[in-house]
Order: sequence, then C-alpha cells, then structure tokens
Amino acid sequence: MISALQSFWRQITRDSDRALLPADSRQARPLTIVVSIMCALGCLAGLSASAGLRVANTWTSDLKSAMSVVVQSPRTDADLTRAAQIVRRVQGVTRSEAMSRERAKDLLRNYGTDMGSTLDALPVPRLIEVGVTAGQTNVKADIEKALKAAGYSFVVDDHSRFTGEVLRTSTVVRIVAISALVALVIAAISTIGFAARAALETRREAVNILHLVGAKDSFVAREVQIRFLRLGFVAGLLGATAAGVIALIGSAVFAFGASDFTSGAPLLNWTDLWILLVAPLVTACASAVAADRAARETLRDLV
Amino acid sequence: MNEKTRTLAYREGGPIVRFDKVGVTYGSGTQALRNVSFELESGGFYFLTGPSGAGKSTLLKLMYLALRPSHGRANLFGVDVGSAGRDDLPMLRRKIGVVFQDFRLLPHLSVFDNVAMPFRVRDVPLANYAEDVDDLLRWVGLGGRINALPETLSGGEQQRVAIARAVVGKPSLLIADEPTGNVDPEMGARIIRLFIELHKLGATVVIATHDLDLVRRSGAPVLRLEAGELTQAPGLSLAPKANQ
Repeated sequence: MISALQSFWRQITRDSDRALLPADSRQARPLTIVVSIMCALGCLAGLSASAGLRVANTWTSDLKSAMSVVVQSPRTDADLTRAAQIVRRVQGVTRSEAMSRERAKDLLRNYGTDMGSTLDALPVPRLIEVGVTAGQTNVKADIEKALKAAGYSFVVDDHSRFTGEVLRTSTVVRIVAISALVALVIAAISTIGFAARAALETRREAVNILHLVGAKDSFVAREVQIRFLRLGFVAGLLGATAAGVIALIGSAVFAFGASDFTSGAPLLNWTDLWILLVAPLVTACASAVAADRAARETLRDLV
Repeated sequence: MNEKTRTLAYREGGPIVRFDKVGVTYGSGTQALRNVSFELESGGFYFLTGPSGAGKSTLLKLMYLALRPSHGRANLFGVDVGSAGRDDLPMLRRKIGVVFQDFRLLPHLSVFDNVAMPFRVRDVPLANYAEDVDDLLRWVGLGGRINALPETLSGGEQQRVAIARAVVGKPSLLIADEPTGNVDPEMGARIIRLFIELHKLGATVVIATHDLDLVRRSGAPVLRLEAGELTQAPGLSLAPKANQ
C-alpha cells in the first residue's frame, strides 16, 4: 500500500518530460477550457441551490414569526387596542401592536395608485401586527380562541399560504440546480472519458510498446489517469475561480437592489466557500476516475 | 497464479517455449499459422527463417505475447499462454526482451528513458537502475548520447537503443526480428556478436532473419516457416549446439 502510494506520488510529481505517454497540448487546452466551463456552471448551480435555500429559509422564517389579525368588528380604536392587549397575553406572542388607520391607509397607498380622497371613504382594514416565537405551535388557534372569547369578529392570517409558496419555489429551484449539477458532472465525466479514449488511440503505438515491455493495464491506466487528474484539478481551479467571481458580482447586484421584501438576506455566504474549494478536488477525482475507466476499457482490446 | 508460483512451475533447463499444433487465424479469416509444433530449450540460440508472408512475424508475436493462439497450445516459461489470465501476461513479458525490426522507440523520450522503460513500467526507482542503463549504453557505444531523442540518431544507433532496451532487464528469452535488416553488413555483424555475448550470459535467443549466409555461418538450429507451416525444425526438441 505504501509503495503504491510512493509510486503514485513519484508519477504525479515527476518531470513531465519523462512521461511515458506523451502529452498533447492541442487536446489538453480545449479540454481544460470545456471542463472549466462545466465546473464553473456546476459551482454556480451549487451556489444557486445553497443561496436559494438560504433566502427561502430567511423569508419563511420572517413570515413564520409574524401574523396579522384583521379585526372585523368591533372596529373602533379602543376596541383594536384592547384586542391587541388580549393577543399579547397569548403564549408564544412576542409583540402585538394595533395598526393605526393612517398606517393602514399607507399600506393601501403602497399599491401605487393615487386614490386621493376616495381612500378616506373606504373601510380601511383594522389590523393588529403580531410577532410570534419561531417554532411555537398553536399560537394561531390560541389567538383565535382568546379573541372569540372576548366577542371579536376577526381573521387571523399566519402567512402559511405565502410560506408554502416560498418553500415550494425554493424546492423547485433546488431540484433544478441539483439536476443541473448532476447533468454537468455526467457531461464532464463523459467528455473526459471520450478524451481519454482519444488520447490512448492517438498513442496506441506507445501503449503497445509499454504493454510489450511488461506494463500492466493498471500502470498504463495510471499514466492516463494522472494526466487527467492534473487537467481536472487545473480546470476545476479555473472553473471555481470563475464561478466565485460571477457569484460575487451577482451577490453585489442582489445586495445593491435589496429591499425589505428580501430581508437583506445575503446571496453569498462564507459557508458557500466550501463549494468553490471542493470543486477542483471533485473535478480532479471525477476526471481521474473517468480516465481510468476509459483507459481500462481501451486496453481490453490488447492481448 | 502469482509470479512465484509460475517460477516454480517452470522447470529450469527445460523447454522455455513449447508450441503444440499452434494455429493463428486472423479476424479476416486469414490463416497465418497452421499446426506449428516445436520446443526451444532454455539457453539455446535459434534462427527463424522463411519467405515474406510465411508467418514469421505472427510466430514472433506469439512468442513475445502480442497474440494468443487461435488453436493449439502455446507454452512459455511453463505457462499456457492461451489460458493465462490477463494479469499474468505482463509478468511473462518481463522475462522477454524484443528487438523490433522497426525499433519502436518512443520518439518523445530520451535514449536513456527508452532504455529504462522496462524498469519504469515495473515502478523501479530511478536510483536502482540508472547505473545499469548508463553502463549498458556505454557498452553499446551510446554513452555520449543518453539525452538525445531517437529522431536525432542514425538507424544503427536507434537499433542499438532498441537492443539495449530489450536486454536491460536481463530477459530469459531474447527475440529479434530482422535485427540486421536495416543496418550495413559491418553493423549487422556487430549486432550478431552482441546477441552471441548475451546468449553466453544465459539468455535464450531467437533471431528472425532473411540472411541465409548468416544462418549457415552460425550453424545454429533453424526454424523454417513456409506458408504458415513449420517446414524445418531439427526434431521437436531443438537443443543448442555445444559450442555456442
């Protein structure tokens, strides 16, 4: 085992002029570019999945920690204040504030239409803004029970419709991103396998000679494997760097246009760095495995 | 079967090569060899002759394990080549040195690395073979060209690199395909002298040649192929002459 590792290390670190199978820069350069692009797309897919999950979690967390109570009757300011006090006493409620008529009108104005004096004639909804402890269950039912007991006619909106939509959308985004990632990995492995087979075909004479002087299949496969391991690592490094730059630009654009709706959730996080760090290693390993398999398949044609 | 077991199975001093009714039919249906039976004793010196297209190259390919027989049994070093596992063949090939007619050097490697190839495919560290390779290259007169690429060498020099590669691993069986075909008579004679020296060191030597004068002068046993059949072989057991 140790001698195999030593041999592998000697091969990986040796002077490339002494490589038994000659390198072909005409093939290596375009292949590096193609694998880099695939790796960059894979990284972006991974970052998208991670960012999508994080943003969705932030949004749903915000939505889940807030409720709105629409008081239908009685609707006076005093009734609303009293209802807010009743709600505040419910277990799991952290905040309960009656919304003034003016603020409720402002919410309607936010829809963008200049309603002028018409707004004064409209029955502005009487709202109570409620903050709840995250993860606390039955708060909605307890609020309903308390307000009903106090004789109020009301509707409690716990935003479950929105959180459901956000979670569904986030799941779809993640499925698409992970599918894209898997497709890119398969495409990269197929491309490298094809390239490895082509590389062996163009060096068939050298492979034959190595065989005839006693090289095992594993030795010849390792020669090919090490070349593609290096290529995969370099391509992975380039792809991850490119993806990192694109993601940074995207994150900056996202942050620049951030609003209350996005809760200021960052698109990129330091924890996402692992995707970019692991990408060159994964690409290198995938390249090596694909090249090894392709080489062994090709070598089966020889005696 | 591992290498140790194979070595034990091979009876020292017995036939190093034994072919029994061996035939080779290529995919196109061409029958290159038919019912070829012979034995080569360990430590012998043999010539293989025959007109072009007689099947000499095919027979050599069977002996250096570039082919498996379509029919019959080919036995090398006590191992049946036809049924040997794929992983067993490299171990057998390491006991065989081959000088190809067209040298088959790797053009991107230096003279040193071409000769060192048998060691490198065995993962032998450089320090363990560098001196042997240097010595051998000096012996074949290429001590000053160890870093040269094959394309910068003359035909004769390339021939000597190919020979050095074939013998550097101290093979038990040395096979040469027309080793004097591409060189002038003087170089041809030097190459044959080199093979005789290697034979004296214990290697079994098989040389395929069209040079009948050379064969007659040597007095060594001859295998003659015509139209894929062995027409000359002094008995099934072709013992080497005592004076070789």
